[in-house]
Amino acid sequence: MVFLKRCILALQEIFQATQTQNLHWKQQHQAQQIALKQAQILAEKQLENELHKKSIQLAHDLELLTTEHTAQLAILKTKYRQDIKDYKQYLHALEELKTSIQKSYQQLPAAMAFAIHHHAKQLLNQMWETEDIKTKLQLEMQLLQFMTTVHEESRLYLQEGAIHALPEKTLALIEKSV
Amino acid sequence: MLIKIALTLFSSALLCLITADILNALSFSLFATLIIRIGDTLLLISFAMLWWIIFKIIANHSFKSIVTYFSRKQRIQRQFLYRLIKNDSLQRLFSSQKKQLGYVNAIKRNRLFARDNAKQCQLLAKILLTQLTQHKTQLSPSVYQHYQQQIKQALRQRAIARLCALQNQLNTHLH
Repeated sequence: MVFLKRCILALQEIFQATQTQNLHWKQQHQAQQIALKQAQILAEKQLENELHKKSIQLAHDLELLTTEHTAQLAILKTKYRQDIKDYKQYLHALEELKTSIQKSYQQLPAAMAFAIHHHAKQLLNQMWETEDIKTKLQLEMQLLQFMTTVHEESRLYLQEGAIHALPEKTLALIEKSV
Repeated sequence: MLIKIALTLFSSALLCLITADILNALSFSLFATLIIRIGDTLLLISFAMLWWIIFKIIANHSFKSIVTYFSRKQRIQRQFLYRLIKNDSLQRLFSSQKKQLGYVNAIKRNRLFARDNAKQCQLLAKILLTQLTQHKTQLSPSVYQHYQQQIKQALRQRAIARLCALQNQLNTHLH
């Protein structure tokens, strides 16, 4: 019984000693702990402020981006509207080209005038659908050359009379491109 | 502290119940009944305390969560995240709007092209059919019918190249 009592007392002493040691350690490092806590709070506050600043900056960027996008979309809409208008005008020009051929070469079979018109339209469509600017320019030049040749031949035919029964240069251009 | 008290009460209640059981076995029934009542009461109190502790912990946690949720720090974080997501979605929206505009433009152009094609086809088919009717006597009924069918089919398919070829064919046939 005495041994048990001694054991319990020893355990109690150990426990108390540990507690005292812990208290001493806390007392010694109290200043450091307080400084650490303060530093932590300060760092958190700083982080919070930085995040707030970034958030405000982001809001500003968002506004700018929205304005920029709206402007770009408006430009794009205008561009596409103009695009369609140009396309219509081209189609109209091609129709006139066909009429001009039909008027000039009255002996020419209707199919030939339509074939010339169809070829020009294909060229126009190819030109419109090409994404590559260089190829687009080449096709545009080709189309312009084709239209000029047709008009020139019609004019010459009307001015100089029926030397050639067919628009040979135009047909040669079609053959070349095929 | 509350947990300690509750657990002590719970152990005391158990001890009381065991003691009552022993007393019951030793035929001290009156004393045993009294101790059982005490044990029951202690057990009830300990359970009530435990439930109270659980409720308090949950309430405490909920309150802390709500306070944290509405704290400045969290609000700023949420706002920042929201703006980041909105930025991203704006970029995607712009890209899709651009694509949509391009798509609508292509459709409009294709419609113009198709409409013009249809118009040219109809004109040529009309010319061909007139020509065919004019030279009906030069052609056998079967050939005439064949040409007529071919022209109508090409017109249905909007095949201008085929109509042109048909006219060349017809001209060759006639001369």
